[in-house]
Amino acid sequence: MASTNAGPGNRLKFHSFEEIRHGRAETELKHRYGRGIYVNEIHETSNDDLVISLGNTVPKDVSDSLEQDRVLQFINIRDIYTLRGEATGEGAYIVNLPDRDDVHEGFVQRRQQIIDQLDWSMAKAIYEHVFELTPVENQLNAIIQLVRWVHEEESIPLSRLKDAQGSGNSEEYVQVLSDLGFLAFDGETVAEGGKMQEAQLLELDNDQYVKTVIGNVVKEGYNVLQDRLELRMLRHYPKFCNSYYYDALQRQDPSLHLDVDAVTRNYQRQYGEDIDPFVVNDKLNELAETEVIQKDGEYVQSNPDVYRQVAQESPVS
Amino acid sequence: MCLPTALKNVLDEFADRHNSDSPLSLSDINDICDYRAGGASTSRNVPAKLDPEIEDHGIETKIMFNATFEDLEAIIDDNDRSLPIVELDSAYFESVDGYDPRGGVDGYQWDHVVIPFTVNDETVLFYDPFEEIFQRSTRIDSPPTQRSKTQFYEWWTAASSRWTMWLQRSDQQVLTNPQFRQEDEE
Repeated sequence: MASTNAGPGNRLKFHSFEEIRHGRAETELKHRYGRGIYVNEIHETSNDDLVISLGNTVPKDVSDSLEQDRVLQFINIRDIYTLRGEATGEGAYIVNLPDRDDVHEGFVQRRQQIIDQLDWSMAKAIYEHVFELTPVENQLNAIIQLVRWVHEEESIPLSRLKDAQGSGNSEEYVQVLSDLGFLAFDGETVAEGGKMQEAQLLELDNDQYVKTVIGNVVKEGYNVLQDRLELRMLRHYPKFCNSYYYDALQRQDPSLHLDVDAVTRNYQRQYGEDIDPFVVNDKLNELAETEVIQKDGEYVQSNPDVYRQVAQESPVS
Repeated sequence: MCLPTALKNVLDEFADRHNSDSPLSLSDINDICDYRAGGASTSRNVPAKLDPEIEDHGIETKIMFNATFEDLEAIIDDNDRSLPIVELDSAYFESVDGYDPRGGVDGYQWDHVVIPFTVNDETVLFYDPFEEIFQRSTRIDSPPTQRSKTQFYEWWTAASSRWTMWLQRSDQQVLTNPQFRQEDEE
């Protein structure tokens, strides 16, 4: 991963772990790659070389919109880039230093991974809440139908499902649900898969059963539903949620108040999309109706249960 | 934005002191410091990138490690040198009223960049571009900050071995386009 450019100005020599963690070698890394750079881990390999993992620190204003004090949270993002220190055999190590572009790219990718993970955790945490929002229900409708019908009939020919849905996507949906273990498909007929059968042990009424199964489908197939079946609505609401929750999680404060403008700024920053505060406000109102967040006038606060669930899955600070 | 903001203000003050216009915009200096959102800026390549831009004005960049208070005073008092830029350890933030900086999961924060302009017997006075983190402003217009020399020395050393950067009149400048005029030419 490290560059092989080994000109005299692109090599770093140091003599101890301490020097690269807190000494001149660390200063050189900060001055070269940005003041947020730090060494988050050092491993010694079997041939005495060092594997040096860099992290990056990013400041973020996570002030409460209702309080005067400004809270500046520094986010430590680990493992953005790996350097290798070669032992010289004389008690020193030499690192070939990559371009700043390479290190920065590592940081950008790592940050994106964290946001993606957060969106996924949020989608799982709020699915049952947003299920009844019309856009979500509409987009999941074909999957909901498949689960409900197969549950009612035990075994249905694929041709009948295709005719009934008339959307042209039925076979692909069946295939994905079969791959995930929710349906059983032999090429002609569709029946309940193991995971649908397991859910029957819960002895739920029909509506609750379908809702539970779909919840599990979302949890286990979030990425494939979104990317392969293009069910973008699954990510749509979590993005608005996380434009609030990301700050609350970073500040570790579920009672943090953010106003709509602050949430809008976060959305634009996290997802790189321009959006009007009117739109954000409308979405937040919808989410407040489903109790995923609490909203008092223009101020947003957490639902403590959602906060707890996402915090357990996605440590972000 | 601390380093570009500090450098811009140092350059403007130096130009103003010599009745010249500032040669570079903040956007130019962001490029020179290779500023990136989330990645901050870097000082490592500032001399190599800044000097070609300012050599026609007869000035150049200087960097010193392990500077002393005597060095700082000498830079501040010299009309042919700009105010210095120094780094302070992130522990400095804890002493700033009205802000609540919090370290991340590994405890790391950013070190900071400030512009000292007076070294007294007991204290150091400096400008702090800290506000810019929140406001994205290009000017340092907050009131000067004062800390004891003891505290300042500790933070200055812990950040990066008392790294100090400034601009100064280069020896060959009078032959070219000396926009930064000598006092006796005015």
